[in-house]
Amino acid sequence: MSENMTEELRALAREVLGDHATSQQQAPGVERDLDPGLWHTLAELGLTRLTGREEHGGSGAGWPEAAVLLWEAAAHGVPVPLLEHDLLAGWLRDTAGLAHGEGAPTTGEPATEVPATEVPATGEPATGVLATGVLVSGGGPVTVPWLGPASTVVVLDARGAGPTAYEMPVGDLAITPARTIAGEPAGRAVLPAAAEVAGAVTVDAAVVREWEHRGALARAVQLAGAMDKVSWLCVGHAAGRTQFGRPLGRFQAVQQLVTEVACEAALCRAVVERAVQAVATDGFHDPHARFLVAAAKAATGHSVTRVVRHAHQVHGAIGTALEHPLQQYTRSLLAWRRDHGSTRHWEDRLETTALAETGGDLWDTLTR
Amino acid sequence: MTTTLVPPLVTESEQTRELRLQVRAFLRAEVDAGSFTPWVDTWLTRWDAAFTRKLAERGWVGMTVPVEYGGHGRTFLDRFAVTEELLAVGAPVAAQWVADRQIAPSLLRFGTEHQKRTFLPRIVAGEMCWGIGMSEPESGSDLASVQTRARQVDGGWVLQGRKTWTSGAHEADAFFALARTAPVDPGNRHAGLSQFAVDLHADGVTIEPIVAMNGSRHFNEVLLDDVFVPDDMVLGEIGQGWHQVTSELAFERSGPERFLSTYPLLDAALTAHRETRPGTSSGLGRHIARLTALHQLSISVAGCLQAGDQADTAAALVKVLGTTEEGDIADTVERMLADGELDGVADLGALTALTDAAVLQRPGFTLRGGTNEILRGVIARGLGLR
Repeated sequence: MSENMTEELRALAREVLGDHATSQQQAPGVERDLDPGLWHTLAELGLTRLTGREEHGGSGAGWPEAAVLLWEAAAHGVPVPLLEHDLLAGWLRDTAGLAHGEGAPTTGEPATEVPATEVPATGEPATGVLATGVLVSGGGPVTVPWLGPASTVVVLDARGAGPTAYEMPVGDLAITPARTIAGEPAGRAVLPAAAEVAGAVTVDAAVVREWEHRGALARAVQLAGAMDKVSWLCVGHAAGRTQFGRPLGRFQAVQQLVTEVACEAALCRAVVERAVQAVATDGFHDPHARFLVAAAKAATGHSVTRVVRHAHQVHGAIGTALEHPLQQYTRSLLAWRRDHGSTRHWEDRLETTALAETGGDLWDTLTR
Repeated sequence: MTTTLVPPLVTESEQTRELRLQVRAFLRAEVDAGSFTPWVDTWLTRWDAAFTRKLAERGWVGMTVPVEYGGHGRTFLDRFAVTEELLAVGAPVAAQWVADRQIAPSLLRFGTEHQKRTFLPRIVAGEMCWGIGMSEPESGSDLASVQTRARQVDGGWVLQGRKTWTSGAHEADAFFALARTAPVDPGNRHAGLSQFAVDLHADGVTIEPIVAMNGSRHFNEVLLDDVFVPDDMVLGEIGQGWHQVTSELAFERSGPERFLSTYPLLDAALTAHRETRPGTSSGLGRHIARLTALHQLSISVAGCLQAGDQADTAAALVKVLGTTEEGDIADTVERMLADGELDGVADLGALTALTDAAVLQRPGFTLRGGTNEILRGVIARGLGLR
């Protein structure tokens, strides 16, 4: 997709997500569910399987487009399982060659909680369902994101000697419902071993590695998008709120806080854009692209601490209230920072594995 | 709106990468030959005119100066790559730094044809070193309050005043002095300032050292006692000094020396850690991640300068983030050493000396070229808060 088309996609995403964000902010809740109507709209626009292969009903786009969509959704504070449905579940299904049969998501209609009136009549029944994905690497129950609205789960099982992939209906699992700190739906469940599942497929070990980097890159993009938005919320609040007879932004102490938020957001944007570009050009099999992904997740995670602290300091008490938009970004930032590898995890991995795989020369890696 | 803060993504071209690798190979050979000892903060602390001439012979000084003035007509991105390589290895580049970074661009922008033809070829050849004549004892962050005065006389101006924090003035040939040419207008403090190219060997110039806390001498006070500057050494226009100086600052603030001053230490610590505790993580990953981001942000600012776009806010942003980070690297390595995490490394003494140098240089990182507090003010203006 050309730069022009990426910008067109950005405009489209802003339009759709902007409408939704406005209506959502009128009734903010602790629990933040997927709006089936929004998901339907996104599906109709070909955005829910943006990166899916066209022969499987996807839109055939790549990471630059996925990053635009992830960024805009994060910046608008709209909860949508783009990573889980498209970039993980959909990708693994395509990669492992899992059956695209009955019940497999193509466009991705949520299977549950879809009020009939909100689904525009398209003349034919919804063909797909919302999928989620999970990487299982240890025993016991795991947390699966979006288990509420999702009706099928694509599993990457790394417990055995060689990794396997399979898909199963959510209905076959015993689920303990859960919520992320951002209020998004999730569930705890024990996933069966691949040997017990019909249709499980053995996959290459590199698939697990790619899964981890996909998750990290998408979360880094979302973190950067949300921090960018937070920096502008800070600017808006500092300019609009008057105390001691003048706007907060006139106080140097407040300016220092706001600019620190803006600096961190800008830094994160730079590294995330570079990582997306490298992955788009060279793919996840390229060690340097993986180095940049690790750097992006580590750097964005690190910045969250300062951004959240300063943003709330700028906003004062109101920023902590459910009624204020800041809180949804705060909660998302905290949820995404710990997700798909902590900051520490990626810092360590950057220094050890990622750097070793590029040849070990830090300066050469940094400047490539 | 954010596009005003972060310039568009720029990646290095194949040709620039090739140049980068040439410089890297040259520097490696120089280190192997013992031509210099890698150090931290070398763009301030390591003055080596012979090494600067060596770089100049290879076309790596004054790179962006047009060919007609003896330069090489290269891009800011080429210059960015070369300066990154020089800093990363810790080469002695103080002799060329100011001239290459901001004097040449200022001359190109505001200088007369005579000034360009007089100075630029010598800068490009590595034969003329420059300092900065902005700060004064009573004018630190508040640059517009400078008290140095220039009085018009027959055929030129006579300067009276005192400049300070002039790095390398005792070895340099000239500086641009910012001086008041008209009384302060309380309604417009930035008016009435002008810039002059001052020969530091001229009559009436006295240079006195300011010794740093580790005993080293890089900074100076420059006393200007009735120093005559001919009319043809006025830079730009009389009264436009503030505008000229602030445009100089965009070059001064945006380069890789704002995040790579301690890179040689990071590299040494990482190497030492691998030597003593192979396969484990040292905790330096945090700095590696941020430097990766800073490199990208900074290269994008260079792209901005190349395109002739306004980069003041972005440059301030890089400097705030980068100078903090290069200091944090020094602190992390100091802690690693104190906790014995690098015990067993072959040359612990050398690493300790490098670390000591870095932590003592650190306080200056976030001061020089505009304190981080002043820079955040610049960014706040960019955000529309001021």
